[in-house]
Amino acid sequence: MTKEDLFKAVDGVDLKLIDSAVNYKPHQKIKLAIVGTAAAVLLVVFGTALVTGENINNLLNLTRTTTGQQISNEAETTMGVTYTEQSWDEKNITAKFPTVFYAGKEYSTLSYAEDKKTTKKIGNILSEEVAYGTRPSTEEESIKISVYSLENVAPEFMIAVKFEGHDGLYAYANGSFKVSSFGEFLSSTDFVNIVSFGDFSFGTGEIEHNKGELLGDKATLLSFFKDDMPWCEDDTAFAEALIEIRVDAPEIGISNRVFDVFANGIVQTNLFNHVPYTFKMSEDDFKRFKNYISSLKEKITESEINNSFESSEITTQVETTVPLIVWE
Amino acid sequence: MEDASIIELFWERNQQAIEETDKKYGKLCFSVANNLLNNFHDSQECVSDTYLAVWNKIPPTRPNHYPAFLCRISKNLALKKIEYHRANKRDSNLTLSLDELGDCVSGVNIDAQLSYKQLSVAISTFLYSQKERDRVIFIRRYWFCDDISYIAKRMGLTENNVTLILFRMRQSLRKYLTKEGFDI
Repeated sequence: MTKEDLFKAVDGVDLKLIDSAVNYKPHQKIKLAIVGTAAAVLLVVFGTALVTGENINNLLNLTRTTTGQQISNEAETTMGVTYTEQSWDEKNITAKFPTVFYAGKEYSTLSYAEDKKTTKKIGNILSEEVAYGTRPSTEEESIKISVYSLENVAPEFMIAVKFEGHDGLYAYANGSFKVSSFGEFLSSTDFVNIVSFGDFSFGTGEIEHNKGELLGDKATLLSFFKDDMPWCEDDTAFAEALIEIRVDAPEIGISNRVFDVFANGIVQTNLFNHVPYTFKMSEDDFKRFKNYISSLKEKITESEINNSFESSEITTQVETTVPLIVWE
Repeated sequence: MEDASIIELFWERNQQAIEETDKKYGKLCFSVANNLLNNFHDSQECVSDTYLAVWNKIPPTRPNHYPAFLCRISKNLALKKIEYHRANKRDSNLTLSLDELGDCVSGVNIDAQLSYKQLSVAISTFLYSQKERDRVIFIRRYWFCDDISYIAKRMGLTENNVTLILFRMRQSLRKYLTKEGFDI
């Protein structure tokens, strides 16, 4: 099957699915601030009524009415009926200007709507530019920006942007930046220094929380992936995952991405980009890595057995005491 | 105006039906065509052709899902136009959506016996088994060929969230189609 076949088949999906995609309104939870305001209003109502000596029944009726209205507003909001897009003034600076241009290339924010400034060491100033954003009314907005390099990162891949009149700098990445090998990826992105490994899972199994230390240090893990591991474009990337590791890069405002090694020797991460960076391991390296993963699994199984052994001891103690209490 | 009323106008052969359709769905049809063609004039032409096609189809058709019906016509017309222009004029949105779908398949030509209809039904079933938000994201990306940033804004998510959701869905779709016996 080719991607064109799949595209044609997607084209023929049930019309209801297309209809729902046209009419879909995202759900928006009622904001805490609204609940807080409503609570404050209720307090004022109670307070005023008590001070003026109002009849308690009137007071309760009024409360019921107010609460009823509040519930209906909430329902309406959670059903998505009253969804409104964030106004221009409410947006943070990166949401207003999600893309910028430098040296003829488009760079996208890495912290859209999150306002996460980069804390990575800044290099030289590269250029002064103007960024453009669009208000919902399609009016165009512009702002002066200063473009800086980030220490040890290729500016062709990622830059830091300072917006005029705003504090701090934000990381922006060039989504079409490609590399030919894993080594080039490491050196262009300063991957080793900025990434941190977190929870992980084997294949589609359960996530092993707080066991990141079992993966060993970054250097140990990354030593399985050779610099000459080639870039791989390919469709075979979506085989079963052998291991999936959650990765963050807090210095540049990125969290909750993945670094995967698949059962066919494909290594892949979506840490920086919408299109994941994908590489192919050599057969020998992949064999070594598989052995390493097997030993990891053994370690985890052992620790689980030990834990269950400890907890079974406690259970036994409890069991011997509980019947005495019950039957007396 | 309600969709049912617009369709009634078509049945009455009243040209106001086209005006009302344009008022309500003109932008939608344009964006469907423009996502594929990336050309203002070609897309506008597609929208006009869509109205003509709808005029010719209703009656006898009485579509249950009018916006989807319009979108499908606009999309087919846009794809025909691409076919017509062919040489080097493929838009990045279409190319990107296609490339991503390549993740789900082997790249070997489809078995001549395999019916697209069967595959479409399987994909629909798969999508119905997903969370509403996720299936809307999938359709917006691979049916409408919307770009990631637009989907993210529309859904109130970050671009990376959208990318990750699509990534997971492609993986699940591949597994699902394999399980269903499709030779991917």
